[in-house]
Amino acid sequence: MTSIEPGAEEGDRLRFESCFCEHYADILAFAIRRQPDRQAAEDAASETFAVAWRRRGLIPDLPLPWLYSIALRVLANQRRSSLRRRRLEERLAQEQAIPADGSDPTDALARRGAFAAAYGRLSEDDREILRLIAWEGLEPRAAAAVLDCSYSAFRVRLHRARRRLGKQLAAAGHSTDDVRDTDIKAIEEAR
Amino acid sequence: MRRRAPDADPLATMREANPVDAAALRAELGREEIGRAMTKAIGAAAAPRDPVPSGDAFAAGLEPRAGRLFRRPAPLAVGLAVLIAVVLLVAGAFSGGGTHPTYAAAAIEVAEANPRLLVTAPGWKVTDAGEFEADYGETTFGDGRRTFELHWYPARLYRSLLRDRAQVSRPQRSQLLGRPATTVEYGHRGDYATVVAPIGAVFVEVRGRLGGHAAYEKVLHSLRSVDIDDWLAAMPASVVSPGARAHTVAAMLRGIPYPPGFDPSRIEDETAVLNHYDLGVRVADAISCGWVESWLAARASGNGVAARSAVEAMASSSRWPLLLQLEREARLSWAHNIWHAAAELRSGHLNQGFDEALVRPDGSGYKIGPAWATELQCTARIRRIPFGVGEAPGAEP
Repeated sequence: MTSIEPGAEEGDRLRFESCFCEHYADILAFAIRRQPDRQAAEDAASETFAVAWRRRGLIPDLPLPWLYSIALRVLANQRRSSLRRRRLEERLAQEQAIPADGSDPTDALARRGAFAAAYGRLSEDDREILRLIAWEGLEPRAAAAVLDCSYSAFRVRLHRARRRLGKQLAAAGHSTDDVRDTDIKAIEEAR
Repeated sequence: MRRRAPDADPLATMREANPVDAAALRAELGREEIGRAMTKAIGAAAAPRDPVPSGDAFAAGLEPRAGRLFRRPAPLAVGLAVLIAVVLLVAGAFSGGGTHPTYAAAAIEVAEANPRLLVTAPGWKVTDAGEFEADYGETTFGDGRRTFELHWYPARLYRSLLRDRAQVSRPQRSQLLGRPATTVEYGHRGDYATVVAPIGAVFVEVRGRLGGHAAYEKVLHSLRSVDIDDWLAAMPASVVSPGARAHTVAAMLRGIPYPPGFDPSRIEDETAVLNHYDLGVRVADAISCGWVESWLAARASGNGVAARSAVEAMASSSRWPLLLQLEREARLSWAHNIWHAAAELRSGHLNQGFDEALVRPDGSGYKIGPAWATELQCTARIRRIPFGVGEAPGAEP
């Protein structure tokens, strides 16, 4: 009895298909969390896998952080270029009397509770760090890889982002820790 | 002393607010739609596109580059990636026992040095007193619905901060407390900040998103300078009292081996304004810094016994009650930084790289490290390596 091994190209295709079926929903969820327009989020997910298809020979054994890393960049490109998004934000801002600077759907939550009020005060860097851990469920090492920074740097950043969120939550009525904004330290250090 | 409620972990709150459940989405999509999406993605891949940075470095198992995430363009004037340890403030501590609180001398020194501003608009009170010292500090005011932050900084930083804030929005000049004041708005969303010219050795910045410019102005102009007693009395009771601090530190140190030369009274005697979690981090860092330094010294002098002692002591951190408590209070707590350092010592490869970088708008800046010292906030060991314009901050010093 002879077995037929798939060739490298066929193996890559199967690997891609398996990766797609397993993770498309994860990537779409990732995009929707950061992109208020469902159609645009689907476009971003599609573009993410288009990149993955072109690079299917590089798909790692644990592909999710790699896919997140691609999706993050696709979304950034999309944000820079999307007139449709800008129009949508302006329309939402007019319709709902909210600012037109929202970068993800949780801005809408900002009107609904202490969490989003606190979240709305965070920097985008802090938000992304917290999203990767809390919403994508990544371990810090994988999240650091998604953001292309060192594990050591990520650990400290996570600590600070969480404390800054805690501070904002505390200010909004939750009982959590407090931390001082570090902007001034950055300014002092840069002198 | 205030203890964190079990549900007080901000990450837990964040998880609850997840707007999209991936499992539900997967079920909603179904096999057919996923098949269509795959066909579309493969079709899109065939079309020529602009290159998208793809994270291939990660896929290829390459080490991440230093500092990239945290490099920021001009609006903040400098990159976010400063890793100067959160300063443990040698400020005051006060207790709320009885109807007439007593205050530590250091707290009074702080009160004397800072402008002692309170929001006097009806319904507002101090809800949080952040870490503070004579020329750095923060208080948060709240009316149950909205918050208003007040920071004070050393006067020498006034011009720099003003230049930074000028990039936020077009500055509006006015007068506040008899001093020139500059107001900016973050993101056209009613989030205002006002910087007041120095009063003595410090200057003040306030910030609030109060539902419009008029509401902000009303609270802003209700700021009044008060005397020391009134200012101290306005502080919340949620801070560590001087009497409880030594006892709390001693309890935190239980079950933890001391590094050579460690003197617990140095932590006990600090009169910082810290809550339980932050005090725990301070204690854990002090111990861990001592052990890592001991390990480095032992390696440098070829003292294998001392090096092994340090490795074993840090390895025992997986059982330190203090770290287990931090982890119970907040998943992925600061304890992981200690455990990470312990693992590095065990492997014999302590990360001494300069992983953090602060980049100025002109592209110059400096790297901060070594990584183990920044991660454990061993402030005495943190160094800066400057680099010039166009020099990538990735290489080891």
